[in-house]
Amino acid sequence: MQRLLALLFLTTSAGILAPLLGRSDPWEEMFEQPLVKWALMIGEAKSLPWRDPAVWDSVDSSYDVSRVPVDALQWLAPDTPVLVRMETFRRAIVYGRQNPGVAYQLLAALVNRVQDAEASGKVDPLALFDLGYFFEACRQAPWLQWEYLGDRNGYALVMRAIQLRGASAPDALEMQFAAGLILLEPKGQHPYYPHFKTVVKAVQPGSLLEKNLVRHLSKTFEADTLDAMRKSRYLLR
Amino acid sequence: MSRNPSSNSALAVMCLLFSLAAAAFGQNRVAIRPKDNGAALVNPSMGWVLHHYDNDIVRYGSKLEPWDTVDDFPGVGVIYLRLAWTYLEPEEGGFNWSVVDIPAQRWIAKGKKIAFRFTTYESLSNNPPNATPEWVVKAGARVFPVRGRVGAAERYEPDYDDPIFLAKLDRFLAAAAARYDGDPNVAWIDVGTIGIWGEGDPGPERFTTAGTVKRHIDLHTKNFKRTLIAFNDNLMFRGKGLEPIVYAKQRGLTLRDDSVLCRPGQEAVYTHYYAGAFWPRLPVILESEHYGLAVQRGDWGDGSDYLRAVELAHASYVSVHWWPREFLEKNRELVRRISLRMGYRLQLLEMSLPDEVPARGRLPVSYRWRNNGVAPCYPGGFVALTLKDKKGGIAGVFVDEDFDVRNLEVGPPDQAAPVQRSLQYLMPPASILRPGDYDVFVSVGSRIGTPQIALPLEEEDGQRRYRVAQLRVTPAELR
Repeated sequence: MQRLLALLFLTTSAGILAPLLGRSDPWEEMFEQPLVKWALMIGEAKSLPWRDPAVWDSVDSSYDVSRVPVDALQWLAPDTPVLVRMETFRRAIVYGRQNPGVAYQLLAALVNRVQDAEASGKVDPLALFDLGYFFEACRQAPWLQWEYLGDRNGYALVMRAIQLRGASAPDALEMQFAAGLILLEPKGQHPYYPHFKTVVKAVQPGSLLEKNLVRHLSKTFEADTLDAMRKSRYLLR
Repeated sequence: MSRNPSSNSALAVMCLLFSLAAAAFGQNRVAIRPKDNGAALVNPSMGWVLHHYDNDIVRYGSKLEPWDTVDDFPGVGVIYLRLAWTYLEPEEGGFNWSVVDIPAQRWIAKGKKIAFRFTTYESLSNNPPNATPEWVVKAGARVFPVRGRVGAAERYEPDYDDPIFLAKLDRFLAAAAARYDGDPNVAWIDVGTIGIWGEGDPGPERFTTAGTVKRHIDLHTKNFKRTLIAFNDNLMFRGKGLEPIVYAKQRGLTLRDDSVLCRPGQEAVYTHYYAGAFWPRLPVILESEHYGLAVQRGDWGDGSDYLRAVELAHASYVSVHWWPREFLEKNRELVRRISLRMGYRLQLLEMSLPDEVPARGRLPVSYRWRNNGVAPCYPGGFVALTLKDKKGGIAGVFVDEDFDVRNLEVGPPDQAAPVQRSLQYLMPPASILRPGDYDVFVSVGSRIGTPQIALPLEEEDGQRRYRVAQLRVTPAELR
């Protein structure tokens, strides 16, 4: 309990201090921050409240931001699709612009989930995925301070989740998409071929994953449709 | 960037006043508009970089005789020595610095600089099986076996966070720094102690964190306090995020990119997204894919992507990542074009001065300079006029200390904003500068007139001064 209180104090005070400690370089101009600024299409699925799903920072001003950690965890049930998890994390981080503490609290909760699973002798791929993806997304948000996020490799956690789930899992492609996004270089110019190759080859036309792929990576692949992506010179090797 | 029109008007008025003053004293003004001679310049903080050791010690300098420093390759400024730690400290505390000192001294003797990367994990190639010395492992450092490759049985990759490994590496870097840190012949050292070839990527099943990279940056900055340290952009890849590069910038490191043309099309060049945070202050270093491999894959084309990378990243150092003569032979036009743009290139666009001036009088001079390179002139420098007599003796030195060429802007080819200067030097009495005819040399260098920077001008005196005009010093006028 004492540890939890200390953690809450740290994350809350970090939330207050964070905007004052703003980064000194214009990194925002240099980097696209896809995990934060690329709104993902999730259809009718439930997630944190949002006004315009096409706009990256379309927060609901009537929403009580302090509810983010609790509400986000609510939408991370085992049967929640991976794309919805990703968009939920993204929205949580954008709400964190008003109060960074909520993002730190959610991160702490995800860390605990992984640790609890490990302590009980189980490995939960979804918990690993959630922690890895959310951590990497947090790192792209200029309003969150790296020193409060800790030192881990979120990509490695996502890769472990992919390995544990297996290539035939129904959400395997969405996880590959997530891994590819994590590795996108600034301005979305540098696709990590193995992940996007897999997605482009196997994605179901008409699926939400296909729509997100085409919407966000058309510039990267210089292709406006899935068919064109499949013929892209970037996938030739 | 446009120049302030009011300052332009002020300059025009100043020029007019000088002309009137010159006319009043009966001086004829001489205007000079020298042409850029197109030479590849060897200057501080820039130049072509030859890879003498390229991870293994048989590429790409091994075919060169000891006397052969590839002087026919224009604009070579640096010899790069990228090699495994185990070559240099085969036994704990027992160093074999000759491995680097031998090639280093060949080029230092020719006025070139050296640069280093010391690696801890290498591909099989011609290296010893392991880049991290075996005595480090015997001391208890954790390593991971390298699986699935030829000769893998004996091979390992270090745990880059292992405290024993870090302590031994720290001692090695301290020993290296004791020899090389701050040596004016050393251009830079890379942070190259993580991942394959020192580029930051650990083996395929392993991952490092931003914290690991920061620890290795700290090891280098702790030991190399004066020499420039370079951060490889690959040190961010595979899930390490932006944190390492921000840290690198905060710690005063510069940026290098080892991956130009490693991918096709628009992926051939992408460093510029990061380079903007570095090039305004520090020289950026570019390295292409091994030339032969890029050709084999069909990615090289005419090599113009390399020039594009230089432009976009405002690169000062550009690597020849291949056998140097073959690279030169097959890329002469590319080498010429890159040489004209990489780093800085100080052009004297115009200069005017009188054809004669009295001793103890005033020497009115105006000139216009432009930096036609992609990067600032990081070392800075001041324009000097030197008068030499017919025997080459230095008779007069006049330095424009209010104008540091570091402040010249950069821009697209031939489009950077020039700086116009108009000033009057006081002529010394005839006892110091005797009346007579002199050659006027222009140079850029220290505040006391020591030339340091090569200029793209003809008629060099062998010391980076360039003859541009003649001047007659007449006896002092009677007052």
